[in-house]
Amino acid sequence: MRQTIEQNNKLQALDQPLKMAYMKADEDRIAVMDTMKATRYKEWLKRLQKDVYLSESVSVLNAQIDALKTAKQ
Amino acid sequence: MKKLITFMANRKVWPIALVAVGALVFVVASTRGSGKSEPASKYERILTTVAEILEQAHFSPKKLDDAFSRLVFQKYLADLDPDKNIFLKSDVLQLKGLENNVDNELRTGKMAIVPLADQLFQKRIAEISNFYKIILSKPFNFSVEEAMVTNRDSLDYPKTTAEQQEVWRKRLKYMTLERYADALESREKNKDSKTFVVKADTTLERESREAVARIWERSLTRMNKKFGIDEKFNLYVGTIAEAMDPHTEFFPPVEKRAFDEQMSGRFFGIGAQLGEKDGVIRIESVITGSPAWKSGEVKVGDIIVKVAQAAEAPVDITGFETTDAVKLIRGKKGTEVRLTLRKQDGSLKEVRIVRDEIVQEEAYARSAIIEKDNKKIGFIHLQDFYADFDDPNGAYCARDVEKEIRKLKAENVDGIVLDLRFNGGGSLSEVIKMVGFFIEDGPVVQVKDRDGAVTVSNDRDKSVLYNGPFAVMINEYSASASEIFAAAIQDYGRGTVIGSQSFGKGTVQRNIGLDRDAGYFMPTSELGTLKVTLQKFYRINGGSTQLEGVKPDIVMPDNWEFMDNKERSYENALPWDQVAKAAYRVVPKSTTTKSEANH
Repeated sequence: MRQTIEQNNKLQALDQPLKMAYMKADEDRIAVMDTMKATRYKEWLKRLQKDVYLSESVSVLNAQIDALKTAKQ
Repeated sequence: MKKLITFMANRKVWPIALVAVGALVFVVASTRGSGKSEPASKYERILTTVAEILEQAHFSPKKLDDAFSRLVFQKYLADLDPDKNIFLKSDVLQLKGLENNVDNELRTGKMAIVPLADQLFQKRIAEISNFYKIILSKPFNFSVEEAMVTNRDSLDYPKTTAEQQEVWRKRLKYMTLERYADALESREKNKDSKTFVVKADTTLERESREAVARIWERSLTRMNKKFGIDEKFNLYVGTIAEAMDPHTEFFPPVEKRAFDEQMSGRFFGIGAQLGEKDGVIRIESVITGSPAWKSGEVKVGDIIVKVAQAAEAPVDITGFETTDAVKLIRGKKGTEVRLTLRKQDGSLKEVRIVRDEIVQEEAYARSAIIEKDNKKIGFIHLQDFYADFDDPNGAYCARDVEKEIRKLKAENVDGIVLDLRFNGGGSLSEVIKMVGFFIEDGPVVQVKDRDGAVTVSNDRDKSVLYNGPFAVMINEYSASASEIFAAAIQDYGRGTVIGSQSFGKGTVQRNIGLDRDAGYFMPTSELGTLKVTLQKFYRINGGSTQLEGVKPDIVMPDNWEFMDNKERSYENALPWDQVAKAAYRVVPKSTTTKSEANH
């Protein structure tokens, strides 16, 4: 069972993390936060970078954007 | 989870709620002053008021009769003793004599079930607290083949104390075995490591028993000290409320405060993060600038032993869970809380702290930018549809999401993904505003009250904040307000809904204070609050999200699909139905790309 769970978790984590970053204004805000809070903000982003569902959703949106561009040409 | 799936009614439906509750006030007024000489007890007042509100305001109230009584009684008994290892069969038979009494108690306020349950419960907990230690004092023999049933639903209650002790012996043995097996496995894996201490079987077995003893020490202490008659009464009223539907709930004052804190993202406390380990609650961090920090007396690692409200006697919080301790420490702005701390040198120190506002900024909307396939995608995460009903200048999610969209537009993103996974809902008025950012104007949701009248809620603002490519992420835990949002975006064809089928909660609740003298809308009634299902909501296409949820345009199944932890898994969930379609126009397939979308 442990193996299956491990395998499942592995399948759901991206090998290549998404290129994802806070915007400048947010980064400045995080820079002056207390350490624990700033760490939680960074961890949040790090977790999302490995989120396969997010990656797939972005791919869907990107495909739609491409389709729109093609339709307009 | 349950708490997350809340959904408050729109402020725009106040007139409807007022009519319903106005009628109720009239009924209540006519039943008061009936010549009673003694003032009603707190329990009596709560019970009779709950009965009246349920009958007069609930969307689809069950009749308060013997059948309802038996339903509540069964559920209450199961909640008090879910594993059927606290009460004896004789206790249950004694309680069963009162199984048809719930409706009478609701009408008269004269309570019999809870005091008897409390008396029997305390007696049995005292007995268990003695014998579990004896069972765990000697090693178990794991070479004997034994069987036990972990799910005791289909089994009966133990008939004798000896039978009960046998149930406990097997349970404690099983819990010990689980830990012992883990310890053996870990020893096998790490035996060659230089830093690993290899222990004998007997030591590991003893340590496993000691670990189980610590769990029960804590749990039984909690049942003894924290779970008194007040808590059992709260559970009883909660069971009555939830018998109507899964989202009608009773909040004792402290729970209502926790609900408000969740909705507003702020609370009044001391500004320290707590953590629990081995039955004690420690300070894990102190927020810079917070009241705890200003006191200079609260340090990371301090153990909180007692908590007192201003001049009141302190409460010993040994055995409390962190959430229970937090409820005692938080309170009203400007009030004093006294903490007795065990400092790291072992000394005790009492610290007086005046509570102040602490903002949980991390619960608010936040965004980031993803770069993939040579495109820039804006990502917005929204944990719930928060709204600070008490403060117009407080946190409102639509305002925050608007800010994030503007920031992303300034960054010239190619598209936006809104993440509503695990978003359990929130304020209806905020959803309507948020849908309005993506459409011109038009209906967003329809609401039906108990008399069958349907009201359409519209976005009346013709402007569109963002008209570029858009996707909404949902999952099984996206509920209520999240489902309205995703459904509206889907019905308008304004974006792509991606993920797994959502929770399926299509009902609207409102909080009604239980203190008649203070008025039903007093948000901080000393008697508590009843969150009542007043209405059902429907998509603009006429269908309901109740039970069905929102089916994504692109399905991505996830880990939680098999658990079926959805509205439809509640036996008492309200049924699915539909109303007429509202008048709306599907947004033409977007032909906008970045350059146009950002005007």
